[in-house]
Parts: sequence; C-alpha cells; structure tokens
Amino acid sequence: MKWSLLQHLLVAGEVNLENRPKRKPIVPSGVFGMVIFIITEVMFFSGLVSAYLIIRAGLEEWPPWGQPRLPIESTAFNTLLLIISAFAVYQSRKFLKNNLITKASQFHLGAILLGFCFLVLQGYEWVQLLQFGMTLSSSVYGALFYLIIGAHGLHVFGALVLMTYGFVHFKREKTSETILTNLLPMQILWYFVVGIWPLLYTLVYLI
Amino acid sequence: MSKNWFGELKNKTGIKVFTVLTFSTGFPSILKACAVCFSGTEETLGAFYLTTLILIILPIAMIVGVVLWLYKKKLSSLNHSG
Repeated sequence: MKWSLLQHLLVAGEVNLENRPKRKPIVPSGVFGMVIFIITEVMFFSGLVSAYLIIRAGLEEWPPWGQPRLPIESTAFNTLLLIISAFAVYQSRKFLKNNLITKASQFHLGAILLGFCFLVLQGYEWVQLLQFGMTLSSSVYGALFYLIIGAHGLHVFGALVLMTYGFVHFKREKTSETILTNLLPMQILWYFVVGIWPLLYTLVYLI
Repeated sequence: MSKNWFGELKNKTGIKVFTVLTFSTGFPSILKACAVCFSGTEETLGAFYLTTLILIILPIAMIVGVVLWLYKKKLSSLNHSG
C-alpha cells in the first residue's frame, strides 16, 4: 500500500508531538474571542444607531407629536450607576493584582449589584413609558427606543449572567493570577456594555 | 433537467442584467435609495452618507487595531524571552 503525503505528514507530526516545545499564546484565547465578539457587537450597535440617525433626520418633529418625553434625569442617575460599576470592576482588578482576593470579590459583587440596579430601574422606566402609551408599535420613535435601549438591556443582562458566573472563580481558584486571567473576558464585556451606554444615552435621550 | 429549463434561466438572467444595466445607466439617482431612505430631504441624505462612511471605516479600523495590538504583544513577548 502506498502512503500518501498527508499520511506521512500526520505520522511525522505524531512522532514529534512529545518533543514539540509548548507554545504559550500571546493573548489568552478567552480574551481574543471576547475581542472578536465585541467587534461584532460594535458593528451591531453601529447598524442600529445608523438606522436611528437616518430615520430621525427624515422626520420634521422629534419626538413625534403625542409621544411622551423620555425621563432624562432618572436615566442620568442610572448612567451614573453603570459607570460606578465599571470603576468597581477596575478596582477589583487592582485588588487582585495586589493579591487581595476578598476585597476584589467584594468589588466584583458590588459591580454586579450596581448592574442589577441599572436593569431594575430601566425596567421601571419602561413600565412607566408603556403606561403613557409609548409602545413598540405606537410610532417609529417608540420602535427605535425599545429596539436600541432593549438591545443594550439584553447585553447588560447577558454580561451580568457572565459576571455572576465569574464570581464563582473567586471561591474556586487558588491564586489571584488565575482569577485575573479567567475574569478578564467577562470584565472586557462589562467595560464594553458600560462604555457604549453614554453614547446611546446621549443619542436617544439627550439630542 | 430539460433544455427548456436552461433556456428559461438564460432568459431570466438576461432580464436581470438588462434591468440592472438600464437602472444603473439611466436612473442612477434611484439606485441611491435604500430601505430606510423614506424621505428625500438633504438631512436624510447627509445622515445616510455619514453613517455609510462610519460603517465602512469602523470595521477596518477595528481590524487594524486588533492586528497592531497582537503585533505589539508579540514584540513584547519576544523582548521578554530574548
């Protein structure tokens, strides 16, 4: 039986498998995967914002007549909560770098709670807006609001689930270095979710 | 498959090519329209151009950024090992 070139290569590869030097990736796979995911997310939100800007530019009156005004002040407070949560994550990483695992876990938990408060307040705001008659189908204003802010809310929820899962690492892992590496992807996602919010808030609520 | 089927397909392709060529050469302004360009105001056109530009530049900028970041990481890891 004649061996094909591929078979030769496979055998050669298997022979050298044990002698092969171990290669350490320049960036952890989880971090790289998260960066790629965030690139796609940036494009997703860019698409939504583009549609919003184009539709808005075509209408003479914004918000359209008969539609309620958005609660700017309470959402500003909500924005503050989200920004503080990002600082809590930053502080948690700082404590981890100094090997203060308990304090780091407290700040991580604080960030999760602040994110949860953000979601609850957003939900309360939505209930009020629905009571005022602003629904997904009431006007293009309502449709865009629920689409963009809802998409962000879903991302916050997803990131919160990941952050809560990440909290388990504080109990399971032994060294602060492994916790730092394991938590980094979800913290990057949290920074993204927090970082994009002021832009959405300015576009949808303020301008 | 019968010969007629190919003939039909050819005819349909011909119609498609003819339509695209006619519209692109005869009515270029219609081709500017997109699903969300429901109004022909200057503001809408401006927003359309601006967002198109952003959507073109953004992915390229992000990919270049990631490649540069990886290159820097690689360089620094080489410096540490060497």
